[in-house]
Amino acid sequence: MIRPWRGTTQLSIAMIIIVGVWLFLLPRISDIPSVRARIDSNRGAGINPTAVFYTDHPGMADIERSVQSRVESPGGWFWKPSLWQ
Amino acid sequence: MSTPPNTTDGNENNDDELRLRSSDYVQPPAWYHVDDFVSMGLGALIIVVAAAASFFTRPADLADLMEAHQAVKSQLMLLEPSAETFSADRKQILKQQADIEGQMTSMPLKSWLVRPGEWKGDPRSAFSKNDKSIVPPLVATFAVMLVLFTMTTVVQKQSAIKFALGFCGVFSLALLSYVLAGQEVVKHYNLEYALWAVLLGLLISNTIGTPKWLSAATRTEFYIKTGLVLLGAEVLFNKLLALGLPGVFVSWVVTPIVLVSTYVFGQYVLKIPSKSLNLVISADMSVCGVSAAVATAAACKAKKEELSLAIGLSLIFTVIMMVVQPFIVRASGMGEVIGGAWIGGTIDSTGAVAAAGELVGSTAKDVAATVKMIQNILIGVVAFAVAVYWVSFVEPSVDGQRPRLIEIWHRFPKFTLGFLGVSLVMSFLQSQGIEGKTLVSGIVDGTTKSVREWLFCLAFVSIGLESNFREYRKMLASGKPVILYLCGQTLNLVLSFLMAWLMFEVVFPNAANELMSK
Repeated sequence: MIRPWRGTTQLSIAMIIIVGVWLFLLPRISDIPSVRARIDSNRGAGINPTAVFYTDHPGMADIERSVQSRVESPGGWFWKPSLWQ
Repeated sequence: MSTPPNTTDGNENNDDELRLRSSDYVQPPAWYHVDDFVSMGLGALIIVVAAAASFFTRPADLADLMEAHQAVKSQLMLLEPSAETFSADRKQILKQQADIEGQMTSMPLKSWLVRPGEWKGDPRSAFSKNDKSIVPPLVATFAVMLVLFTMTTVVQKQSAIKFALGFCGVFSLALLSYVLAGQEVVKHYNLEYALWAVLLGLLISNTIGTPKWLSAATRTEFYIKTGLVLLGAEVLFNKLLALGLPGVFVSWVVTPIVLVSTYVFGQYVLKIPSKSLNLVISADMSVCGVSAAVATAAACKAKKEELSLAIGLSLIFTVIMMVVQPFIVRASGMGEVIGGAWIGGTIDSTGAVAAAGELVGSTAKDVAATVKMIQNILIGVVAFAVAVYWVSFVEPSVDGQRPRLIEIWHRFPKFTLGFLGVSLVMSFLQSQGIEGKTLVSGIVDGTTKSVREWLFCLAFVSIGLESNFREYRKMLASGKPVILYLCGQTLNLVLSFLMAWLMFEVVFPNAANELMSK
């Protein structure tokens, strides 16, 4: 038997669940101290955990600059294998 | 990404017809019917506009800024490592360098290409940034994409009105995915927009069914290929030596070994029925998660469901690994440099790598993110190699023999050439001193990155709208995809650790010392 209302009901229920989870449950979870600490730590360090590619990460340019200054450090220690010393 | 073919009318815009079998081989259609060419054209147009916008709005005092930048770089080289103030001086100079580079980079289009931001309890706050509404730029973003993509439907001789109507719906779902992904708990536990975009699409297609008016704009192939051509602008080969030889060994030696081993394991031990599923999971697990999965899936013409399954696996294991790995690094005392390299070489996405590295320490975060960046660059080579392997060895020719060169060329996913071509051009530009570097930064950060993110999100929504839960059940019934991911990741964890230890502890201990220096 075809029940055309079935899909609409399922979609409505799913939407209600989404609204409930995102508007009521998740905001409460974000107040749990360990979760809060993690969020604040990421924010403090300028980290976007959802960055897919390296260019999506807001702090990447600073990281690159800092690492480059070490790789090109005076004395060129970075490139010397232990066997050559 | 496709489902098995059913016709041979040569219209490659229909996703269902993209996986060619020997018996389906036909003369190639006109170029404007092929998504690859249209994607490359559109990608090139966006890059040229972005480059022109960045180039013609350069600051008037560019020459002075370049001189100042050179002076700052010289100061950095003249610093005396044994001096007491070395660390503070270096930080100060790096800050000056960043400021100057910021002033040199012009991004006039950036504020007009946006997406919803982070929020906690009120989703409306996702639509403002620094107390300023981002609704007008969001409308502009929508309008730009609507115009560009509708133009391509006109070129491809399809109904522009139907597409425009459907695009409004697909864009709205993409917008909603970003809002769901922007909730702070979701965001900081790395549940990316890709997951919500696919799920929202699936929710509609598996309940009320995807309405016909919406289907006109579910152009997964086109969004992905254009997004990948734009991603090419971010694949800069100059960054290969960002961490010296140790970085190359951890990222470019271990990764291909893991990729090939996992694929072979999937084929001959697990006997996964779909080679494309095996390849996409192997690539997204070993290279860099979502972006690698997208590039590989497009190169080997995987089914949409295979791509989204691989991404789902990657996201789930990333959430677990970004919590567990920092704990192991700290508990085992393996040190920030080896630990960072290990995290960077194994966790799939850059954001999760940085977050996990930060839990170990600042140096670990820097090393982890840099290793991941070098690994990200591998994506261009992997996509190209997969495309060549696929058309040459996996897809049989008409007579069951190895395909002739012309046949390989006809089947070859041409967008990979666009992807690699853009990557090479941008790498060349990047190598032209600070002027080239800031121009590339202006193009990528100012325009192409935002468009690429939207294109991928639109693609994931389209995948959901065209998929069926039953397909996922079928693929997951044997548990083989999960076993493949687990086995591949275990190998990845072991080899990455061994290589990181070998490089930073045995062969280049100076590199580790230099990275740890304050």
